[in-house]
Amino acid sequence: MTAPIPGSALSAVRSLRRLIPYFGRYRAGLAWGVLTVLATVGVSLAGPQVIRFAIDDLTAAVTGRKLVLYAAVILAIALVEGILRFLMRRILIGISRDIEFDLRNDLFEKLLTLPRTFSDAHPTGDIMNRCSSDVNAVRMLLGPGVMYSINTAAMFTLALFLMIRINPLLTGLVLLPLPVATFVVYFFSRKIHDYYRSVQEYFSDVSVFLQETFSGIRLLRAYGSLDPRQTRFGEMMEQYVVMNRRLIATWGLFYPAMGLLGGLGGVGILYFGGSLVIAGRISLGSFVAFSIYLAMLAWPMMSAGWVLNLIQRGAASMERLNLIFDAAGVAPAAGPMTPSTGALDLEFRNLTFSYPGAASPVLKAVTVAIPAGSMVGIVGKVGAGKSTLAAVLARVYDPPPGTVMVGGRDVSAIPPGELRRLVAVVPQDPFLFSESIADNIRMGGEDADPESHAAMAGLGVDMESFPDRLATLVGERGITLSGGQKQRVTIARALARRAPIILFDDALSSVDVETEAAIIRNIQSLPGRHTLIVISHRISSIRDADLILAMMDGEIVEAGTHTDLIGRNGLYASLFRKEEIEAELATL
Amino acid sequence: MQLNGGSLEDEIKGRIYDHRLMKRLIPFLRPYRGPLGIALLLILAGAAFELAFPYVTKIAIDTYISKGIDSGLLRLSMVLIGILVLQLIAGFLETWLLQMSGQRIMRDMRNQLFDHLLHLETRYFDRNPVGKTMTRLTSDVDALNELFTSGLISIAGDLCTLLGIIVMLLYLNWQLALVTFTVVPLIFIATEIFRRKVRVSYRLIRAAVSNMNGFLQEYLTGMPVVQLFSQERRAFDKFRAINRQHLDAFQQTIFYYSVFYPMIELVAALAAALILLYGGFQVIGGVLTMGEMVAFLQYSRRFFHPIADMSEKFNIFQSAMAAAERIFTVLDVERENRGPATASLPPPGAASIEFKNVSFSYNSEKPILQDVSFRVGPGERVAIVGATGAGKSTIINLLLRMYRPQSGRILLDGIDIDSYPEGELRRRIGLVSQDIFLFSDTIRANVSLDNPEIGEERVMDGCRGAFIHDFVAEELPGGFGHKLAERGADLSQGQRQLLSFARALAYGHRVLVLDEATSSVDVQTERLIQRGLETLLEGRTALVIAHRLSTIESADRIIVLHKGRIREEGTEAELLERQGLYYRFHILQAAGVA
Repeated sequence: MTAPIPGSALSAVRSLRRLIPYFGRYRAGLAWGVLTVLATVGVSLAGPQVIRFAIDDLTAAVTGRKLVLYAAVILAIALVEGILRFLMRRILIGISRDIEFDLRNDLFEKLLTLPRTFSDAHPTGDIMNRCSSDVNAVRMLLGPGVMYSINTAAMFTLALFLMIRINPLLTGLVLLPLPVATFVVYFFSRKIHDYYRSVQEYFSDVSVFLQETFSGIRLLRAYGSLDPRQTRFGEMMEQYVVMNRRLIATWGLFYPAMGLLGGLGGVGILYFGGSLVIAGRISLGSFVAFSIYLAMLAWPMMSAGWVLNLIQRGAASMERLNLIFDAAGVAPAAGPMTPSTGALDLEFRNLTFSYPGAASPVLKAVTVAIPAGSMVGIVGKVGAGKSTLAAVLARVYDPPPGTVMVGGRDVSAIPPGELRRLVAVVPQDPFLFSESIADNIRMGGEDADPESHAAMAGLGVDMESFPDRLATLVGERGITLSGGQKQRVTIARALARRAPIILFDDALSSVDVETEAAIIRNIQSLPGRHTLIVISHRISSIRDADLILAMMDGEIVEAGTHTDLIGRNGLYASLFRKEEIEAELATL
Repeated sequence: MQLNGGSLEDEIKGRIYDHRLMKRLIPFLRPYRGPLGIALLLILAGAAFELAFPYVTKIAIDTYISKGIDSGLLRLSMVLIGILVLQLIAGFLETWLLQMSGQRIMRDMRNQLFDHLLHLETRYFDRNPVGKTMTRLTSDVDALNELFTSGLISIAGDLCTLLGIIVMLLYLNWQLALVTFTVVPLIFIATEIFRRKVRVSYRLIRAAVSNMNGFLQEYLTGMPVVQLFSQERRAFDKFRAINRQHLDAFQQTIFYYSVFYPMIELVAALAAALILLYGGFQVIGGVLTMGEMVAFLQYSRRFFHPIADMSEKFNIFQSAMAAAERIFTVLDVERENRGPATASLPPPGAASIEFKNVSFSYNSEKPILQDVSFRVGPGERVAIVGATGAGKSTIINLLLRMYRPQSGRILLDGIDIDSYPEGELRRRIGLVSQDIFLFSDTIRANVSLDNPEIGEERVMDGCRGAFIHDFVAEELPGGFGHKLAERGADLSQGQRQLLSFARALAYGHRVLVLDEATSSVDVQTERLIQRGLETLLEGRTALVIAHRLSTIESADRIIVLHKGRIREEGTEAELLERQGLYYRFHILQAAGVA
């Protein structure tokens, strides 16, 4: 069998197969839901029958007692129907929300396992969209979609049966417009959806225009080109009105057209049904009941068209969700698992690495051995490959097999979970979650002692200035930390990891020189021997390192101690001089 | 980026109706009072047509069907079909007029807002993030449109229908009408309870949705951290809890909706029962005809929609008032002073720049520039050198009148820049910033910035001068009509740079301010840029914020700015000899790592 073309109707409907297990989980509820739909339809169709008898009795002769009875029956039916409707909505729409809940959980759980390469290829906004509007479209299919499908089918079958029993010919005549109505709704709502989308797309162009205008306003002002920009915006707004025109026209025709179709059925009943009453073929009561049935059928028939669209859209969205569900997760461990033993020496062996899709490598034949317990400093200009070196060590990106070794084992053979207990990373971007500072530190390890780790990371004094010390929330609802404070919290978080290898990816840039030195001293005084890798723009952070690597264009160009490298008078030495002059300038 | 919890702006707050705001909104409606008025009339007509249907049914039953006369049925049916067609036309026209007016009102508002925003001081854009400014122009205007099209007018329609039904019922049989009306308070009570409950749970929903979005945004961005610290389990548990909160909020509204709609149906059934009971006795007593009773049954069903409908409109009013408040706040921000409208100025001659004792600070506390004086003579090229934060870009901002100095004067061609009308100032002085800004637009538009004075010829010449003409003409798929990706991402850094030179060359300013980029580029790009720069600065008066050694060396004179003051001034040889600040900068630059 050939694979269905993505985006085609067939592949879209196939994408729904993933939902079957979700339905399975709620089968009892679903069965009850279907039952209530059927019962609701049954009871609601009984109502007009009562009116029919009441009117027929009134036309002949009736006693007051009988009238009271009819009124009571109408109320009773309405009450039962109300309860059934309540149950129907509550059960079926409720289940659709439950499935949405499950689906979203599974989606997020899956996202947690996806590698960096996935998020590089799919911007956050796109994934957010899938998690919100696509899940929502699937939910619409599961809830209203399913509910109205069953409702329409049942209603149609039963009402048809009852109407035919009153008069088959009349039934045929007045039902004629209804399939047309289904089609009209299907057609119109699809058109409206399409037009709406193109209007939306145009508006997102307008948004880009606005965004660029306001971001580039200084340039536009400097060139005295605000007026043409304004003219352009005026034209865009004009075009937007024009684009809306067909949407409005379709929309404007839609409801009145539905009214017309429904009304024609009513006129049909009045004329043909009226004639039948006059001819004595049906009673006046049947006539009234008939028109009520027609009114009751109108909505489900219209909703049929709408439901068709819901199903289509839901299926298309499910396809978009499957992109996430079907994405390959982080490769677990390749090769046999061997527990780590002995010293955790690090080694890069002739490592050449390029990012997926990139033309040229970012790391070229990097070879270096780092003995356990040593401190290594890495310096170099932006784009030299320093951060990439850190990223492959922590397997944020997978290095080629056999190129990065930790404790004599290939990192590709170490499960990510285990590797990340061995290597604690302080990333370049001091990303904190909007939780308490203590909770952010605890992310490092459950057994963390936030107070002492914060102190070790040089947050001692700052801590006193936070309103609730370490319980203070970070972010919008809490306080805004300075760049340096953020960096120190991320350092405390890494220390809480209690990992034998600690890696600073340019994570001391906003911390002043004294604090920086203190932090490094603190780490080195920790019990046990930590391997410390410090990537930095500042020589002061690393001048005392056991080994300093200077990188340029993906290669290690110089390696040695501070004294060695100064003596060599190359890249490292020039970086060092620059820093000295800068320090001097600041004091002038 | 940290986002969590609802941002305050998402909260719908404020009053349902604010007279002061309404009064300011009216002028936007005024140009469309014609179509809006007709739309209103059509709504009235639509309501009348809607009411006609049950009445015609009544006539059919009473006059023909129950009396066994079938001659008039056809005519009545024709009348009904006529009414249906009229209803179709009225319904279409009403939507058309209303929505199109709405679109045009939005267009007008957006144009006015855009115009206003473009004329605000640069400071405004320093203080307000672009996203926020855009919201004023997009969703806030939409909220107001909602008010005009779905809110005001359709409430009028609902009211008319309601009133019509009441009149009709009273006309048919006032006793029965009064009996039927007894259920109305029930509807109001049910609706009001529903509205309150739903409002509370909508607030919960909004909070839940924005919590979920905030969480997703944060965790998708911070995913590397989650994974590096093996926090997947904990992140999942948190998400589950937020997802649960989301679910509960929705389940609650499902409950209210599940109760509300059947409740309305129940009240409708109660009305039907009452009509059947009381009306039935009247029919027996001969006071009421059969047809009248059927009409009553039909009218009473139509009664409940408008009432339920109207209560849904409150939200529209609330969010529209909040949006109006925000929009008018922007419109109330004072426009920038753009210099005199006209001025008699000598023709551009000397092409010189002069700062006389200029001091400036963004907020009065920390001075950025203190007593800065210098002059750039005609045809001279002066480089300003200094560390980050020394005040270099402030000099540009002041010279281009993006900000105004607290004291001192800035002269262009010997005339205070404050005396220049906006257009004239921009014609005399140009800016080339190497933090390049390109629009996702054609090459042509990026060079000319849509300025009608910059024709095709000047665009081409500019590109030729910047050595990028051949590349554009031969290698870009659409040539000069090629549309760039956002921020010009499909060009190399060097090409983007050259394009910005082409822009300046096309405009041909005699006085140029050049703001060099700090970021380093590869050797080949560097060479390209050097070549472009030379043609660009050839024969012009130029003030260069310099970062590259080569640019500094090619300047006639160097000004060293340090901590907001001019500390050294002279030719490169002089300054090097002095072994002061410049000497140190020079070493920094020479190290190639600045």
